[in-house]
Amino acid sequence: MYRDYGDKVDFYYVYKTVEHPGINGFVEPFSIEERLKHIGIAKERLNTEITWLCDSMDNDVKHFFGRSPNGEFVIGPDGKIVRKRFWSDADTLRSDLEELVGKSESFTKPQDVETGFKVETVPNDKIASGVFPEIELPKGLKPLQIVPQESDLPFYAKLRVEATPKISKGGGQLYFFLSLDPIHEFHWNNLAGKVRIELSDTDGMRFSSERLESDAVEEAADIDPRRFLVDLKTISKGKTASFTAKVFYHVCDDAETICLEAEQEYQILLDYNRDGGTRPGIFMIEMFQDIPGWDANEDGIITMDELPKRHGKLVMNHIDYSANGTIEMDEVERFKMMFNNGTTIGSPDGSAKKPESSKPDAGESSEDSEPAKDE
Amino acid sequence: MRVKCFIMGLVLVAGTMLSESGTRLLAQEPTDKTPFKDLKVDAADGNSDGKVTTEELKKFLAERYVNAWAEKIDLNRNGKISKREFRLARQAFEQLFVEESKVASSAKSATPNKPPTMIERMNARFLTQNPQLGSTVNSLIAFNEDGEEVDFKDFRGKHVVIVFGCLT
Repeated sequence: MYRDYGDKVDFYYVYKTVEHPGINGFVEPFSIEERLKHIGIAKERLNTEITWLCDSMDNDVKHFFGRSPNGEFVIGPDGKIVRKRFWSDADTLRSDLEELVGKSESFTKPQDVETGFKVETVPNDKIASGVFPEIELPKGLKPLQIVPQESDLPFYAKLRVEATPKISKGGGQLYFFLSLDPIHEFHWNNLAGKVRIELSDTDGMRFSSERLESDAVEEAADIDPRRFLVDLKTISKGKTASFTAKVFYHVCDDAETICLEAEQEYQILLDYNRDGGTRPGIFMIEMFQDIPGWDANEDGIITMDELPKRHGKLVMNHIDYSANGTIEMDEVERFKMMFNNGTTIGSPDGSAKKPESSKPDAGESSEDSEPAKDE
Repeated sequence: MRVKCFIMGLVLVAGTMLSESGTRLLAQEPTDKTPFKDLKVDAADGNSDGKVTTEELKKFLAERYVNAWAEKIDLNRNGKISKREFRLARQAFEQLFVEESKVASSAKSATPNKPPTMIERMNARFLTQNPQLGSTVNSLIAFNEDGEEVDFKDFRGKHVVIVFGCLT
C-alpha cells in the first residue's frame, strides 16, 4: 500500500506496548531507547520502508487511539479521523484510500515485497534453553503495574508480575516472571549463582515467602525465564497497596566478554496494568497443535472454509503471508517458527535445547572452570 | 416515561435510517453485545411477507427493545437521561449503524447470510469507542526513529495512515 500510495499519503507504523510478552523472549521495554531498539529489530525483520513512530512510555498514542493491538486509522488533511478499525486490513484500507485520494496507478501485492523475515531463537550453541522447569499457573492472571527503580546497569533481565483477580481485596497468588531481554544479548550465568527475589515494604501483606530463589539449572548458561509463584494475603488497602521487589541475578553477554552481577529494584502496585498485554498461554500452544488438523481434505493447502469459523479471518490474516487467500504448509512452518510453536523459549520446534558441549564454558572466566567472576 | 420517550425517539431515528436498507441490514446475523443481537427478519416481519417495512420495524423495535435500552442509556440508573447520557447513547447508536451498514454492504457482495467474523464484530465495537470518527487529532507526542519528539498535529496537509504494531 505504501508503495502504491506513498506519494499521496503519509504512512506511519506506531510501535506500541508489547502485546504478548515472552514470545521469542521479547518483553516490554523499560525506556524509549529500548523501545527504539525494538523498532530497529522490527524494521529489519519486516524489511519495511515505512517510517516508524515510537509511542511514549506513558503510551499516550495508544491510549488516544483506543488501545487496539493492531489498529488502523486514516487521518484527513485537516487532522480529523476519517477511518478507523480495530484490526488492520489491507483490502479495506486500499478501498478507503481509493475513495479518499483516488485509485493508485500501481497495485503491489504482498508477495511482490521481500520481507527479509528471519527468526533468531537461541544466541549460540553454548547457551541452553527450555531447561528451566515450567510451573503450573492459576487461572485469570493479569499483569500488575510495576515501576523499575533507577539502576546503574541496564535491565538485562526484566521483571513482570501478574496476579489472580481481586488481588487487592484479600489476596490471591502472584506470579513473578523474570525474563532476559534479548535486545541486550545476555544470558544467565548459572555458575555464579541462582536468581533471587526479595520482597520488602510489605506492610499489610502476608506472602507465603518473601525470599524467592530459583531452582538450580544444570547447564552453566541458559536463557529461560525464571518463574516464581507466591501466595499473598492482603488487608484492605485497595489499589494503592504496593511493595518492593529486589532482584538479584548473574549474567554474561552472549559474546562472552563480560559477566556481571545485577541487583535491581521494582515497586509493585497491586493494581492491574491494562497495557501489560498477555503472555502466550496454553491457548496458543493448543492452537499451533491444531493447525495441521485444519487441512481437512489433506491436500496440503488450508482454505478459508477449512479454518475454524470463529477465528478464520484472523488466522488467515496472520498466516497467509502471500495473501493468496489460502495457507500453504510452508506458511504454517514460517508462522510456527515466528512464534516458536507458542512457547516463549527453546528451539523452533519448541523443545529444550541443550548446549553442544557437556561442559559448557559459557560464563567461565578462568582456566580452572571456576564460576565466572562478576565484574 | 421520559426515558421511554427518548427511546422511542431513537427507534424512530433508527427506523428512518433503516428505511432504505432495513431489509438488507436485518438479513445480517447480528453482532454480539449489540442491541440487535437477537434481531431476526422473521421476528420483525409482522405480516410474514418476507419484507420488513419501516412501520413493522418501528413496532418491532419499540416492543422488543425499549425497556432494555432504557436501562442501558440511563447509565447512572437515576431514572433520568442527562445530556451526557443522551449524547453518548446517540453516538453509540449512530456508530453502530455506520458499521452495520458497512458489514451489510460487504456481506452483500460475498455471501448474504454469512455471520460477521470476529474481526468484524471487534471493528463494530471499536467504532463505538473513542476516538470517534470525525474527531480531531490535536497535539499528540510520539518519537521518531532517532528518538526525537514528533507531534501528530504537524502531520496535517495530507492524508495519513497509521497502523499500530509491536514485535510480539
